[in-house]
Amino acid sequence: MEIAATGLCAPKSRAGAPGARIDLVLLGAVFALGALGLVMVYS
Amino acid sequence: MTAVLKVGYRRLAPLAYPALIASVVLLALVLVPGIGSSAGGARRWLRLPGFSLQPAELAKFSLVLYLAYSLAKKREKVRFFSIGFLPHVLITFVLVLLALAEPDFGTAVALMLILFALLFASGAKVSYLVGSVLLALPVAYHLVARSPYRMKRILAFLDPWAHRHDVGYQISESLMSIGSGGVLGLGLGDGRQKLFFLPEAHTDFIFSIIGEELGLLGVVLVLGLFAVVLWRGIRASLNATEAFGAYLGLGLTVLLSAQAVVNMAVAMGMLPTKGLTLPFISYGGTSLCVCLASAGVLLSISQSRGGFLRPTTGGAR
Repeated sequence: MEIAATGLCAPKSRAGAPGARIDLVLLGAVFALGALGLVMVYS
Repeated sequence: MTAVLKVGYRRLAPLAYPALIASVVLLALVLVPGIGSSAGGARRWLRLPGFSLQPAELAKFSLVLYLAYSLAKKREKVRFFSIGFLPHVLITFVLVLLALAEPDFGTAVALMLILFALLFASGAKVSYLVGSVLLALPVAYHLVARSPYRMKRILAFLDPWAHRHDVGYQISESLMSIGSGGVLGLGLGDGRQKLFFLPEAHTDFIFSIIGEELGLLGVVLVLGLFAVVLWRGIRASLNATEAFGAYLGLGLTVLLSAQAVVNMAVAMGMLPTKGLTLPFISYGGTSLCVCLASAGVLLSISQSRGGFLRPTTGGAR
């Protein structure tokens, strides 16, 4: 099965909305991992 | 991370080729005696005034950037062997060879994973991918069987307790760390394994210390946070407005999550020992900078509201 053949790679007409908000969930996870790393390395 | 987020991922596209060339040059420089610095039997660092640089970490990011740019540019032609498959495999092969020369088997595996994930997502023929894996298997076997240190790592992986006083020392100490943590752990800072029992406790084996000090709860927390990174990374890629953003997001998500999974699997004795760091957590300047830059790019892509990679209904193109 090829992805292109199933239409998975087909572009959609929806345009990107400029000024959209960043992903706060991803940002939170990255900060939590970084904070845990700091605590683990320096404790 | 903030700087990359402010710049925006689209402005990284013109840097794809220069970054790739710089990575090849830096990886080659590491191998030059007097310039490259070695530790633990591998020549992996460039000592610069005030800090040291690990070019292999930059190479992973550069490869994702190059593949995303090139595959997005070629689009429909990706299905052709000589245009979509061979050039990307050959360029990745150069980076893999340089990584193996250090030797850095972990980075070589990570580079191959990125290549296959992006070729698959961009629509390369699955028969080419399967064929190249079958061709690579004897080469991988030869590389392991020929190198005494890799063979020892395989032996240590198969039975760490039988080799716990020599090659299996690291992995058996790691298993004891995780096991002694129990459900709630010994408490932050109360871990005993990091007191020189477990080598690389602050870099490659920090997951074992999390298991020891924070117990099963800490391990589940770390797994959960990486699952969130994987989920939101794929979501951002699916929502990207154009091919470059989608492939770049997917490549970086694969890079972060594959490194995390391999590192945690190594610490738990589920994979042979490799020199891969745990993203965002392990000590190591270059790795942390690259991981944070990757997170910045993913956050930048997450601002798009497109749907380039989403399936279309009714097969309409």
